[in-house]
Amino acid sequence: MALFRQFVVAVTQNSLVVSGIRGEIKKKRLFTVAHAESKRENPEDQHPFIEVCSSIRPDPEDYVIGELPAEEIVFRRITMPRLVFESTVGKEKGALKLHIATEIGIDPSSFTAQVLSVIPSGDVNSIVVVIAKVTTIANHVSFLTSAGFPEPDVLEVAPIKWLHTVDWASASPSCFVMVLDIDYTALCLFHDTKLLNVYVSLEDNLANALGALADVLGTDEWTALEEIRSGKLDPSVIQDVFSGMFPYNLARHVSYLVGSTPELPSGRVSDLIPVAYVVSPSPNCSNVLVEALKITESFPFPDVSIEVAPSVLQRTKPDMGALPLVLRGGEDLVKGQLVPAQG
Amino acid sequence: MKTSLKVNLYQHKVRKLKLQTFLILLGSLVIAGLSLNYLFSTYLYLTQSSIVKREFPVIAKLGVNISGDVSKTLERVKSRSDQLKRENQKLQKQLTNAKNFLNTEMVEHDYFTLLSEFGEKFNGERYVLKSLVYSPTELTLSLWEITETQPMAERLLQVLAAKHKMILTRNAYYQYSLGRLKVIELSVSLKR
Repeated sequence: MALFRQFVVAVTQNSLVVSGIRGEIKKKRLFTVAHAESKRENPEDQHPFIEVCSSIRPDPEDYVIGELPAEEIVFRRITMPRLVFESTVGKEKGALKLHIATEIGIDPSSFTAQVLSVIPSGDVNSIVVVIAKVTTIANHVSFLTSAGFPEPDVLEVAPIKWLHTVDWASASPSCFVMVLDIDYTALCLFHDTKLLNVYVSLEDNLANALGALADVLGTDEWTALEEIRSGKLDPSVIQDVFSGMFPYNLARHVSYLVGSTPELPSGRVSDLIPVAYVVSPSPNCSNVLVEALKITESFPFPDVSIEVAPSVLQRTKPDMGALPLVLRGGEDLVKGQLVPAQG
Repeated sequence: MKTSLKVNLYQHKVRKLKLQTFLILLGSLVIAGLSLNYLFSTYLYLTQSSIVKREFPVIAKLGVNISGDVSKTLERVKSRSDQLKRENQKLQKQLTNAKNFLNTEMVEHDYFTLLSEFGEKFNGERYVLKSLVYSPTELTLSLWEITETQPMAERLLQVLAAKHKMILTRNAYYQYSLGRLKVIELSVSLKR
């Protein structure tokens, strides 16, 4: 019974695993009540969801957060005259949606869009939007509910969820955030706390790196992942794989990101954005990627400091992505950034 | 740095309560309502009691139990008032009876005082009381006076009646002579 108590349930999936957490919120702290993971063999297989659901046993009154995978969403930057944008503010979302549909040439009834950031620049506004197909959302919600989860209160998107783990109080207001997850890499460009641009690469992902590691170790991806998470694997082995796989591609994406952000003030990039943060599901992966970027000196802006992002997580057991969603749910409920309880 | 990037692509959920939660909330509301009702009743009771004690001490002295329900309090006051009226009537009746008794006794006392004074002050030769009938309103006296001189019984009775504020009415007066003896048959009524 959840009366007078706040529970958050998060369920997430990637190509390797389905994971879920049920946590209780007490005074801006998250206490994990149940946590479950189930290995995923086939993306269409519902069994891992059912298994996770039966393990964490969500209550119908829990605050439930799901996630749309990175491959199901699109981030777009759209420019529109300021007056046109202002005329859509406060009115029904249809007007803005119609504008977006016209810009990208799709049926307005076929998608849902949410504005992530508005960047005023003279008479023109640039907006960063995240777009998903209505049918995709409906299918995903139906998939979750038929597996036994309550109808979600929130449907987050994968690349954004990791931003909820960053300790923004300790972070620089202007920064790159590089998110390396199982199925994608996402690059976010912040300037003066405002998100200016997002780039998502599905080709550069941790799953490919795990495949390469599995080849090196002579095991499968799952075993390689377990070894990374447990910290048993020699970091130099991971670094060899990461150095060959990520730095140059990431550098290319960073260059593209900066080049496609005209709102960035003129000047040296390293002066404007002094730091690049790395975020990943495993602290080991983050550390190794930072080292790989430093060793290869591939980052296109040499004076930009590359660091592991300051995090609110103090995890003893890394999870596969549900924890950031629980933190987001906690933020919704307690109106402030949530901190996981230790232990 | 403070940033809040939150995406929610599914904003259609209507939050629902479980039956158990609903019942607990309902129960809490009912308990809260009853508590408030009790609180205000007590407050009203204390306020009324205080006002009644201050403004109407007689009600407090009468032992009327003041409650938060004004109509019940009024009913109690009315009932107590009726009860007191009945007791008052009863006492009035007893008082009247006692008064009547005392009046009667007083009349008798006056009659017999008058007769006693008649006996003491009669300085004639002889008299014989023939009959004495009295009621609360009237004393009827019949006597024979036997004398050789001037009869004085009627005169004395008139003086005593005036003294005791009674009205004397002569009913009969017959005088017979037997030699020198005079025999007077007198009957008078004395009224207050």
